[in-house]
Amino acid sequence: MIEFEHVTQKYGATVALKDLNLRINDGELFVLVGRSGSGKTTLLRMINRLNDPTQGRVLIDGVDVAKQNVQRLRQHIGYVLQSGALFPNMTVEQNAAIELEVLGWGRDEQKARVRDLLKKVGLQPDIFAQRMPSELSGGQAQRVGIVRALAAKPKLILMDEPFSALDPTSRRQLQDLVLRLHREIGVTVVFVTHDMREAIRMADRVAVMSEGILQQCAEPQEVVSSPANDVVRGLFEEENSESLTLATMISAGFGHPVGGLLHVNDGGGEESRESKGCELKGYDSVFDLAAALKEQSRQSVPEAAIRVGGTLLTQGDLMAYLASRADVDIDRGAANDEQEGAR
Amino acid sequence: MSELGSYIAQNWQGILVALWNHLEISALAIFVTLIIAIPLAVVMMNHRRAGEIVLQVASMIQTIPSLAILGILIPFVGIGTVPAVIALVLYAIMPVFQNAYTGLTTLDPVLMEAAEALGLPRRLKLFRIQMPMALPMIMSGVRIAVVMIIGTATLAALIGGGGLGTYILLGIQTNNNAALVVGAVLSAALALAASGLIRRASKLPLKKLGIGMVVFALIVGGTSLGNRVISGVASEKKETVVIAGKMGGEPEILINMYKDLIEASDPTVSVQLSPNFGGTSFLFSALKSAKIDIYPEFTGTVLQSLVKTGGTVNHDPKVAYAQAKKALKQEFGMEYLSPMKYENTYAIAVRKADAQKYGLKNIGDLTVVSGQLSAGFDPDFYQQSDGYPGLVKKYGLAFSDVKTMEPALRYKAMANGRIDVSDAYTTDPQIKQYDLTLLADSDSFFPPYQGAPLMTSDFAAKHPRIVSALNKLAGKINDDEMQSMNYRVTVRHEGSAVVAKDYLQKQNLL
Repeated sequence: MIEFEHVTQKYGATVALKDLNLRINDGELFVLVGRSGSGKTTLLRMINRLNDPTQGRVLIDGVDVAKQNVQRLRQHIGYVLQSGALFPNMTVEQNAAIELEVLGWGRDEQKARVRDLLKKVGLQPDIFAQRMPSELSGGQAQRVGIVRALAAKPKLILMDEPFSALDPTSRRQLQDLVLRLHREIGVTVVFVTHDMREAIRMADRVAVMSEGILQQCAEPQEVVSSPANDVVRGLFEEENSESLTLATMISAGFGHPVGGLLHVNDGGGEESRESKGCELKGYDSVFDLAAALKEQSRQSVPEAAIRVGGTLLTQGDLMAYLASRADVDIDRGAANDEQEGAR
Repeated sequence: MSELGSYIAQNWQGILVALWNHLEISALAIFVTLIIAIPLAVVMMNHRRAGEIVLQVASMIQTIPSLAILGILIPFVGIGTVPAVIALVLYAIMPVFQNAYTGLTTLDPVLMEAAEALGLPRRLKLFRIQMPMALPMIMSGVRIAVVMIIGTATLAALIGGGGLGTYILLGIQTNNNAALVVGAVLSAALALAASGLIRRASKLPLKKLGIGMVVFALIVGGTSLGNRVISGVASEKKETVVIAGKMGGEPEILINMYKDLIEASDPTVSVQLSPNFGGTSFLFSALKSAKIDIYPEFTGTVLQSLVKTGGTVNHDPKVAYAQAKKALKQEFGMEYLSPMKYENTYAIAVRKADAQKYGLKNIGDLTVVSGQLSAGFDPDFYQQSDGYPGLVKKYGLAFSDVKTMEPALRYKAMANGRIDVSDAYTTDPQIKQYDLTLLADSDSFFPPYQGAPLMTSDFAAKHPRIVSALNKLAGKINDDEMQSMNYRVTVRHEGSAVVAKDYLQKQNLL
């Protein structure tokens, strides 16, 4: 359990965080979301003491982090940065195992652990273990970054905008990966993003930050359905071009009810969504749908279809819906998405 | 080209020794530099303000001329390898430190944060991440430093440090192009080879690089230590006396004679020679601080530059010597032994053909014809009051044209007919080589320049056998003999040790 108690951070006269109180439960996937400068990253960095608060304190399992050996503290907290941040002079394996080396693991144990994790994140150890970071794509590098964070079996992982530099397809894949790993390993994850959709998609609970103040802390459904104030609502409007959400698409009459077109294992719930990667939510955009469909066709799923609530959407539905929309709308939406991919 | 070939064939052993010496000095200097500069950069990377100050100081040292550093160091650390290495290290610190410091302080901050966040211990972070990432930058600094050191190490020859500079200096001093080419080409080749080697080595990982450096250090260090031990065993129980000489062939012949005479009369003494040691002031201060024991000096130079004379220099050689001896004893507590016969003084030279044509014997004979002749003088001679200005007054000369030119060039210019009259030293071998005639100084205008061994009184008192051995040369060697010995060494490029021994044996002095 992580507790922030009356945490304030000042840089000179600027107040970055103002008397903030927050509790993150064990095993949660907790997302801090907000614009740049909202204080979300500062808050995250206080947990492993990359920042020390001006006032207040941060407790992990009831112990003040300021009273712990900083190196030992950090060695037991995984950290994933924006771009993977792999050391260019080391192989994938050396990068992933560096924390294990510090902690004095035997060489064979290190190797086995890294191989195991590489498999878990979808990288063939035989192919990737000896590669240099310069030989990896952005998505691959970030997967190795995740392996490095997980290697020492930490109970807590911090992720600072880990996917913001990736293209939409890779981002979605990595989001799925983190969701799956979180569920499998049961680790506590604190995840920072500026992307409200990503926050809603990933989070067990979301904390919305703005100008150093915690605006709302709740489960994603609640944030979506009843934003605490105009600031939170404003963040949504910015993120989602409303007319291009799947909810809008379905309410416009597109799609087929589940069971009509394909047989989908209803009982599996979460698991089926994860293992097949074929479920989206109403607040996802048509671009997420397009990306998911593309992914399915790449995996040669015969009748590619994505489930949204009780409705299945196919490639045909997507095309028909887009065709029914005004051209202007689509152009704007597409431009937004490209920008994000580039960031 | 054939001259070069035969020069190398005759001197290859000496050249190899110089090459090894050069390598030794350079390697020692670069190791000391690395040991100082890189840890300094590592310490300073976390103290940026201090780092900037160090950078400024290193750059300032860089601007001091290397010759000046050598001069400053002699009184403190003496002559030979030590001051040479110190000077080289002072120079090389700047490029190595600057590159290492910049490399270490400009690493990607995201990666540094990642290392922080992983809680990596300092040492691991330094050796596994920061150093390897900064390595290309560090190695380029090392490469610059090595090339610079190998080039600058040629100056070590000026203070008896040996190395390839010995051949460059010899080449310049004795107008011997073969020696000059050997020294210059070898040091350039050494620099290029070292640079290429480092470029290759920079691609190795840090660990292999470290191992490679240790192996190299062991080889060079072990070999030179081995050499020392061998020569140390050989000269066990012997006292070592250091004799230095000024630039050029003549002092080298003289100090070789000193060596032979001393070692023949006193087998417990071993003599170490430092030829081409440098200018008068270098030698004199080295003698004062007892870094060398003996060097040959001229009476004229003593009176003109070293002691206070009150402006008058007697033109009688005997009186001048007595005056110099007394002043050296009183002012510096030095013993000036009896001089040799020959005088290496200034003279005026003309072509033999002109001498016959105009009937020239004395400088005074020039007065009538000087209007038809053009002259070329050494820049020093042209300015000194006991040179050209005084000469013109004394003999009433008026040349049609007067140039200044490098001493080494004036003889050739005379042979080519570009000038008709020049200053010369009485023992210069080129007089013989270019068939010149020296005009007699009938009115005793030039001060006498007689050579004699100079040492501290303290040394003389403790070494009576050395004094008596050196006194065997008193009154020996006339102008012709010295001139022909200089000719053999400077023009024919025979070894000065051989020429010296020949003379001593012929005179039954050994």
